[in-house]
Formats: sequence, structure tokens, C-alpha cells
Amino acid sequence: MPENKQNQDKNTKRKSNPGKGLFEMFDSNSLLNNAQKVISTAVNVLEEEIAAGILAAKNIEKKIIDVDGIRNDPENLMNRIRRDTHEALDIFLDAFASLSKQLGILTDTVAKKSENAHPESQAQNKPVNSHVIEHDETVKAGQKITMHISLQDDAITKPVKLDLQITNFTGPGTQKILSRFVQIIPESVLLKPGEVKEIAIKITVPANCKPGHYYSLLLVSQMPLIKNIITLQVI
Amino acid sequence: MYEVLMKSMLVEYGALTLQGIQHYIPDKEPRKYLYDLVHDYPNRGGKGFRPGLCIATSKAYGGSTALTLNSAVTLELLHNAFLIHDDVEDESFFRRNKPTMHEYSNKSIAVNVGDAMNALGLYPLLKNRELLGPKLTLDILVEVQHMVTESVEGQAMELGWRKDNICTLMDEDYFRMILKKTCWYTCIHPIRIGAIIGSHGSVNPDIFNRLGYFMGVAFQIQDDILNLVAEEKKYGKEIGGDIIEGKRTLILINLMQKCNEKELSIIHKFLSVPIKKRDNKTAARILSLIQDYGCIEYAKNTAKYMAGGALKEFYTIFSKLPDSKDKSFIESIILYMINRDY
Repeated sequence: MPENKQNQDKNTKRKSNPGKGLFEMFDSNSLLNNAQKVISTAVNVLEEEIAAGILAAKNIEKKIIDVDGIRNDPENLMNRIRRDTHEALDIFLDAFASLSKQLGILTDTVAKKSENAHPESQAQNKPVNSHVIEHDETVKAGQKITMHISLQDDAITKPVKLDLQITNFTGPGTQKILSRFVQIIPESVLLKPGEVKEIAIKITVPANCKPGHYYSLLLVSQMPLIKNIITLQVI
Repeated sequence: MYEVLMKSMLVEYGALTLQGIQHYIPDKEPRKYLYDLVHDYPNRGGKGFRPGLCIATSKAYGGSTALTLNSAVTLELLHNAFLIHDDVEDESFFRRNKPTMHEYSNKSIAVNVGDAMNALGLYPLLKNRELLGPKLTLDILVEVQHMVTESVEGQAMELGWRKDNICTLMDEDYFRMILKKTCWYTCIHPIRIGAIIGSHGSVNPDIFNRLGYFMGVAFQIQDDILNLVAEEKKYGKEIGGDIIEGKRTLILINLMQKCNEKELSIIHKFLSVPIKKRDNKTAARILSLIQDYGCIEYAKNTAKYMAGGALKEFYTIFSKLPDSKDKSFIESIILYMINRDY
């Protein structure tokens, strides 16, 4: 097969100089742009999935708290006993313990600095700081909603221009709310030390949007380590 | 040169891990339909990436093979259990140049052997307590719990796409599925676990997420390419099997994005019938479309971008560590991900 031969030829060349073929593609600006686009898409997927794991752990935590409430209410307790077995509770508790631990590992915002770390690599080793912003009420397909978010940064000592971007909302299965249905107003803000600025996120939920939890990342270009997870529930 | 070092170290760590696996398989009945079969897939000699990455990362951070071997054994046992179950789910015929387990026994026996290997994989994790203490043992257990959860979720995504015959997927859907199905258990968690052991828990394992993710995507895309263009004997599986199985590879997704409506309709119809009823003629036509639309080239470029991203992450994270064979081994694996032909 011609494709096979071509592949083998390329592999033979690469074996003599393994890194060469890899970096040749970076010669062209357009290829570099392609690479950045692909990597950026992939990184957003990774961050969204980690965020989804954190949300799932939090939801299990909420369920456990609800179960405690039911235990103190005799009537609800009876309903609970009718629905589930005690084994189900044990499974919840085990899952809670495991996932709480997982949550700690994945979201620990305190950077563990190794004693011999170089300063430049310390910045790289900083964990991503995630904030979850949840829309208070459930929404329906076709509905328009606006979420208001306050921006503040105690660490800045001079005015900083912040550029905001939002990714597609990912929902159940392959369901999405594309970012073109979402508007950030304004998309750029100049934030001064001690100042609080409000932005609005307007979302038009598509008419054919299926029920489920949707989440997206609100990114600030100048703060790559801060990920704001926007979530809403479509019913 | 890099390939010689990598292969020799994979062989060394692979042999140690295989010894460890054999140590944990009970020497008792029922042998014929259980414990003898547990030996089968590990004995076929896989690439051994997972234990290799885990042990090498541990040693690069100051650990040792002895401290890491139990975790490496678990990774390899769980990997082989996944393979047995995967082969059943995908109705595959060959694995590492031999008939798949369900083909030479039957599906029920193969699923049961896979279950047994999952259970056997827990024992080395408990034995970690004697060498690593309770805290690290629990940390590693949580890593494995997350690894298995993500893998089954990723598998569910792909099986769902195939069951519902979804033909409207985008690249980011593929990245998400591969992250969950492959990356966590092939690269991210082996590296994380190795670093936890080697550093005695002092390194934040989150710093390896991108490295392992980029490596895993590059590895999987290359695997998908080889399924279409490799030499069957070297590759060890039937060539073009992914097309027949309807796997949503980046190559197929790219084709479904680029082809015209008539061609998409042919693909959709082909994928809508059960695997055993799919005809080779249409499969060959789809392969021809894949070549005409440059989908293999597209996938190769994407794999290279990912490997480039992985190298950048590797140099950033590992440059502070002293040079060692194990550090070079990890670097060489990244290069191998996109240059391999088996």
C-alpha cells in the first residue's frame, strides 16, 4: 500500500535523527498557529474534565449532607429506608471518602515547593486555581439568562488590562452550548489596584438544548492559572 | 540511539513487573479456566509503558525499583484486565499476534478472567503499606481509584458513540474521550504515582497532568494511524480493524468532518449494521476516502503537536532534576510515541 511505504520511509529518516522531524514543522508560522490551536483546544478539555471531577465530588458531598438531614427526620427516614438499603449508604460514604481525598489532590491550591526547585519552574509547578460559579436557578431551552461576576485582584500594584474568553459549554453526551451563544460584556476590562469591576455573561440557551448540567471555562488571558468554571442546569 | 536505551529499559522494567505479576497470581485451582489464563496476556509481552513510566519517574525523583514495583504490578495487571474486556467489547480477533482470549475460550470466561485480574491488582496496593507507610499507600489507592473511574467513563463515551452511531463528532470530543479512556491510565497516573513514591509525597502530582495528557494523546493517535498503515505482524492486531469496529478515531472523525453528504451517508450506513455484518468492500472504500482527504496526515500532524507539547512540559518539569538514565528514558518515550511503527 503506498501509504504504508510512505510511512515506513518517513520512519526510517526519523530514526537517524529523532528530534529533527518533530521540530521541522515549527518552521512555518501557519503550522505554529495550528499547533497552538490544537494544544489550546486540548488543554481546555483537560481543565474542563478536572473541573467536572471537582463538581462531581462536590455533588456527592451535598448528597451525603442531605442523607444526614433525612436521618434526623423520622418520616423522611422511613421513605429513605423504603427506597434504598443500608448498603447504598455505605457505598455513598465510601465514595465520599475517596472522592473527598481526590478533590484534595486535584484542587490543592497551596503550591508544594520542593527545596531545590528553580524559581522559573516554580511558576510552572503552581497548581491551577479553580473557582466554580453556578447559576442559581435552573434554565429552560430557549431561555436567555445573564450572570454577573465581580472581578478583583488584591495582588496587583498597578492597573492591569484583563481579556476574557469563554469556552463552549459541555453538557451530557455530545451536547454543547457553543460559545457564539454566549456574550461577555465587556470582553476587556482595565482593573486598578483595590478596584472591583463587574462583568455580565449573557447566555442564550439554544431551543434544541437537551436537559442536563452544562459547564464552561471563563479564562482570563493574563492569568492562565486561574480557571473559572461556569455551570448551569438545563431542565 | 534513544530507541536502544528506551527499549532496553522497557525490557528490564517489563521483566521485573512480569515477575511481580507472577508472584501475585495464586498457585491453586481453578487453573484451567482462571489462573492459567491470568498469565496469558501479560506473558504475551506488551510494550510495558505504564510500569516503565512509573518506575522511571520514581527513580528520577530519588525512589527505587523496589519501592515502586508493587504499584507497577497493579498498573500492568489492571491494563491487561482492560485489554481482555476491551477485546470482548470490540469483538477483536487478535491481540499481540495471537487470538484474543474470548476467541480461543469464550466471552464469559474472558470477562471472568478480566474481573479476577482487577481483584488481583488490589493486593500489591495493600502490600505498599509495608514499604511506603499508610499515607502514601492511601494516596496511591486514590490515584488508582481515579484512574479506573476515568478509564471506564472514557470507554462508556466511545461505546455510546458507536451504539448511537454518532457521526457529528469534533476534535475536542475525541480529546475528551482519549483523555478519559487512555491518558489517565497510560501516562498521567503512572507518572503521578511514580513521582509520589520517588519524592515521598513532596511533589505536587498535578504538575504532570499536561505532560501525561499530551503523551497519551500522541500515543493513541499514533496507535490509530498504525491500525491503518502498519505491518500486521509487527503491530500484532488486524490492520484496518478500527474501521470495521467503527472506532471513533481522530482519523475517522476528521473524515466525517471533511467528506461530502453522500460519502457521509455511506459511512453512516456502514456503521449502523452489527460489526460482523460490515463488509470489507465498504471498509476499503472508507480507507480510500481517508487517504484521499488526507486524514492520516492530519492525525500525524496532531500527534506531532501533542508530542511537542509533551516535550515542552517534560523539559520544564524535569530540567531541575539531575541527569539520569531514567530521565532520558522518559524523554525517549515521548519521541517514540510519534516515531513508533509497532
